[in-house]
Amino acid sequence: MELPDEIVQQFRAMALVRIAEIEASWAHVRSSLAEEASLAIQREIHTLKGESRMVGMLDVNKVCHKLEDLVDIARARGYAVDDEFDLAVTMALRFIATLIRKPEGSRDIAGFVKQLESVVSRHGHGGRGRPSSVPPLLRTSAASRITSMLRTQLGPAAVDAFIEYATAQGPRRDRLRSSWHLLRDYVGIQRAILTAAHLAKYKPSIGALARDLGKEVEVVFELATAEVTTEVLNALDIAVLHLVRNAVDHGIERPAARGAKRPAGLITVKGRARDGEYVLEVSDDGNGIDFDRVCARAVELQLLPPAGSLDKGQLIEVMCRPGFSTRTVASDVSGRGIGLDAVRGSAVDLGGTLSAKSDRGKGTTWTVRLPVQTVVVRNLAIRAPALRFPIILDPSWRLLDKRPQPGQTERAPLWIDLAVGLGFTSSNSISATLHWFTNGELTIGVACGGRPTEVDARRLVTTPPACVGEVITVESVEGLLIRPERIPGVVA
Amino acid sequence: MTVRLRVPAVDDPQFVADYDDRGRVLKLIGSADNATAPALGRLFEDLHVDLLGKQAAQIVVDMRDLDFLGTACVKELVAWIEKLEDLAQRYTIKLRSNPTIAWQRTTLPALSCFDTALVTVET
Repeated sequence: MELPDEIVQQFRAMALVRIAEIEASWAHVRSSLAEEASLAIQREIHTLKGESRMVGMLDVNKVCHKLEDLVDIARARGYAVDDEFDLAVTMALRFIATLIRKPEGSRDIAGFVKQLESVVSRHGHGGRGRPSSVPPLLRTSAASRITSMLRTQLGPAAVDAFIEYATAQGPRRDRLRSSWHLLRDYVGIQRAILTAAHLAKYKPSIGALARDLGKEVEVVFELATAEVTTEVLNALDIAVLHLVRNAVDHGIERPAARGAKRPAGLITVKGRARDGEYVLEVSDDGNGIDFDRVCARAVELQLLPPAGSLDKGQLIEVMCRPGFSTRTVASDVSGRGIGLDAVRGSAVDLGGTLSAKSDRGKGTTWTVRLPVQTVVVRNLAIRAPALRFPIILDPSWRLLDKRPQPGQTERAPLWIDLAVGLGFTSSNSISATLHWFTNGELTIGVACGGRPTEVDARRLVTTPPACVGEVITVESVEGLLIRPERIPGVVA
Repeated sequence: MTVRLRVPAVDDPQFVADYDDRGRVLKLIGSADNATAPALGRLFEDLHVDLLGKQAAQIVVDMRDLDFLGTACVKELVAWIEKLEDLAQRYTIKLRSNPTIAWQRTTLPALSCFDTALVTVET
């Protein structure tokens, strides 16, 4: 199986980021017992394992599988592990990083795995034979969605930093540039173009996985191109990886067991942005979810009372819990109960959801819904005296053909110089004429250099509506989206 | 070159690194916790430059009296091995171990798996 070099390089770069995150989470969870860090370790390793198999790095896949055993033991012990164990986890992560960076070399993969196995066995773990179980929650729980909270809080500060930088001159501008860039990189929206090719990158290896499992699978990708944030792209990537692997492993039957259905199972991956959200559906025409078995396993794991019964939606929620699997033995493909938790976790982190519909004998459809920010804003660009960057007004404002006549507004029309409104001294470097705008409630004149022209602006730093503006880019040049009603003095 | 390094402080006897230039043996003694890692990394770097300059064939790292090695120190060892791998002309590293010390039983053989042509373990 030959994958394009670009995809392998993407995997390598992302895998090294994952390893760094796992190392940080490992250090964090050992000192704080933070539940979120613990789950992040499991999700990242499981994702790394799945991705490595998909790109054909089977050595990485093997070591990841053994590392999962170590992490399972650590979690079960509340991360109270000895130095030898800690070193084994560290070494495994370094070994994986080395394999990813330099696949060539005189590595002894079997020898390394054997060393990890000896640590696993000394710590009383049967490895593959362990029962899959839902581990108890750790003692503390990290605050969720801290990144989103911080981003929201820092947005207005980033806008201020941009305004200061963009209006400064000389050495002061150089100093402020680094502050602005730091904030921009931290809180700014990172955009990506989602294409069918991006999510279909695993297609060749899905066939290989199916063959390994003695199955025949056809995968169809129907994805509309969309501009999304990198967080959304990453969440969709994780969803496709785990849901397709699950469909191959759990959903699609072997040809002999498919009865009247055609021998090759069909997996369809559909996705498109609509009504402020991205909807991804992964469907298979396999055997469907065996809800009786899910229910029995939930009872066995004491997630349900013996006489308990739940509807399908509730059982699907149980299936997504970390550690839940109907398998009692973990294979190198699945059975640890991590995949669905990883999909749901990454969706929930972005304010999204994961749901499923399944009919026995007919198949299953998993649906991921992710809210997507409006990335592109279309409105009139203004050249404002003394401000040498693109400015657009908030889309709630529209241009009037002419100055409103007395009596058309409740009070006398106001006009503003945007530079003065933002706290700077205006200059007469360009001749300004007044153009009149309204948002339905207010009508103001804005001093403009030339007639406003319509442009597409991309949002870079978003802020709450109470803030005076946002940072946008117009043809890659950074500028401001201004909410005139938030400029001091415009509203009494 | 003769190096006698006490880390993290001269009056802290917890960890000592001695290098015998003639026998090309680096002896690590005591307990190297994570605070030791930066100094240990610098020592490995200095040794690496010295060994390359002298076209040495091998260095022995004697860990028989090393009771503990922190994870950050292990990362420094891995970085040393990775650095060596990139070179056309290189020396080998022999790790002298003490199997009665628990952490050494798996960590040192596992280290040799990073590059069996470069790293060997002697018990």
